[in-house]
Amino acid sequence: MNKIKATFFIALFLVLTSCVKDVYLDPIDLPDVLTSEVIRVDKFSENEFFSVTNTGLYLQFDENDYVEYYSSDYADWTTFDWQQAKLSYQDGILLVSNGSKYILVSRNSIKSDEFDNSSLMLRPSSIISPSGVPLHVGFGDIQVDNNNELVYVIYIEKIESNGTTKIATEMKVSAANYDAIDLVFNPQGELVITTNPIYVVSDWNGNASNFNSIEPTNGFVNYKSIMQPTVVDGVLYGYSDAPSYYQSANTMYKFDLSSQTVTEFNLRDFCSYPDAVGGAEKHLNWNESNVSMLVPSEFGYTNVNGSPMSYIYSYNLEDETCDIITIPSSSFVQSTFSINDIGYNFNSDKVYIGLSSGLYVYDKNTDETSLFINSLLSLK
Amino acid sequence: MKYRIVITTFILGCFLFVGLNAKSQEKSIYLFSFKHLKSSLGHEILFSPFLHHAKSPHLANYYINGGSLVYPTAVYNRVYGIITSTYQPKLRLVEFGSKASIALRIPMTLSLSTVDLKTKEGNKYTPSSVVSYNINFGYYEGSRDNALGAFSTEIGGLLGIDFGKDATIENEAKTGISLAAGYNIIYAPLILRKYDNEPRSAYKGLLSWGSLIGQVGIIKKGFSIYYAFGLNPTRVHYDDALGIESTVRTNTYQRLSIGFKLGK
Repeated sequence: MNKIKATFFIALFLVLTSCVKDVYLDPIDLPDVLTSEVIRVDKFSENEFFSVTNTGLYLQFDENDYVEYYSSDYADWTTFDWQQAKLSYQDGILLVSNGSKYILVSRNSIKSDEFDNSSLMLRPSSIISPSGVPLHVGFGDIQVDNNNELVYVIYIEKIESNGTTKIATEMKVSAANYDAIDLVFNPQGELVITTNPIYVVSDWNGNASNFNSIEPTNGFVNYKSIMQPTVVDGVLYGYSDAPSYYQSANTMYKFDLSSQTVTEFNLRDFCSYPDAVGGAEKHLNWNESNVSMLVPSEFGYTNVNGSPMSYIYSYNLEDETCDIITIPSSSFVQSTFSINDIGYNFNSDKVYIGLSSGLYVYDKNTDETSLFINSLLSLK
Repeated sequence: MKYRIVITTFILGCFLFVGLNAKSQEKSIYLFSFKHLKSSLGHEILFSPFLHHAKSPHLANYYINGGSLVYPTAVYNRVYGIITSTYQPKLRLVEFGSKASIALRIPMTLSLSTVDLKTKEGNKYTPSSVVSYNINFGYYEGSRDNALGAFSTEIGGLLGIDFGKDATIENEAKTGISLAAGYNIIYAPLILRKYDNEPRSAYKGLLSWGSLIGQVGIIKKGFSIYYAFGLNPTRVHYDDALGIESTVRTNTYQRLSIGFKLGK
């Protein structure tokens, strides 16, 4: 019996000492470009967003699915005007363009180049097509038409893997309506050039000879162009001027393409801005006829937690109502001037804030601001 | 799986012991009956001065910024008992003659202790959002300056076998041995130190845990000595910010107590 007892004690001892469970915590590779100064951030959907910082570029396709490219991959990184650049995003491909330069970013590569500068391309804009083809559209020649008026001819440049093609079209805009061009694809996949008149191009991938010209005949017919446009149910919405740091925007247009009626909105009529606020400085995104825009506070420095640092105004252009998200100050956001950029999308409760110390997230449900990297850590 | 092996081994061993003892001495087996409740009950009070230490399982990660890599380190709740007292009632479920019994113990513990939620390196975890200060110093976490709180309480259920003294009410041996195993739930701290106005609810899931423990005891006339220990510790392996591998053992439990029998 003593042998059995001894065997039991030995067995128990062995079992007890072998019961230590081992757990391994592996270092996590995080997008370190997001911990340096953020220059720009833009959200395309709930989980898709883009940010560029002093050290690189980050493009997220989904939660925990992203690519990052370092500034060393692009020689002109510091001279490229990221804040004023036009963005166009389509199914994982991002086109960033400014002036004659563009950068094409995808999951597998980053390519920077210049548009075809063999001939003039005035007041251009660029867009990526639903099939992923980057397009660059602007005014090329100046001609005298049959009525003896000066007109600008629209050129379209296509950037494809085997080179670029640039064609002069039959689409023309009167010199009186000469302004910056903007572009959008309608739900039918046609390219809409939001000049005055509007051009709807169905064979944009060919020689662009098949297009409709839609003249404004009612309402505010003297607009020049419609910026940051969207097309919903045959109605085109957009700004009178592209909102920017240098030129805040307060006026929008609604162009009913079937009745050819243009309606002009003064956003201040929908809901007034707080004191010392100039207007929208950045277009954020569209959701049907709802538009959101960044309206920075002008109060400046504050140490008081909860003071308004910036506002996101969301307008419903059909109901003529508005909704306001206030970005409060926090231990990270202590000054309006510390905010380099803000990204927001209607499909998300989270506002991305770009600061000199990195990218932060303001959750409008919890009213808390936290480091973006921490939200990635919670997914690991 | 390992827990099952431990428990199965222990229980089989207990029955093996009891069976051999009973067979060799040809004693009768008595099952617990409410008619004899008083003779089946025992009461002890245990004291552990500075000999009580518990660590929770790995509850959270504390992230250290190491440049392009972020290093998770294990956060656990730890209790250092300064003075710990345990009231431990015992119910004999099965008695094997007068020599041995299978008993259920319900140790209820109150400890004057310091409690902290921390890493091995001493970083004190808080659910507070990380602030600029933390990031500037290379941490993707908020942190506290002081311990989380004080006082802890525990309740457990231990099933085991007793031999010799106090194994049964009739046993008159000079020495007894007790072997037991079961589950122990710890709640710590009872008093949360105020820090950054974080409410107790913010620490949800971090202030209580349960673990398997074993307990061995030697019972002498007038007093007893018990050693309780964790049965399923976890060894967490991680790299520090310099890339050097480190380990920390979590889900541990140790309590060495001197006990006194209450009543007969």
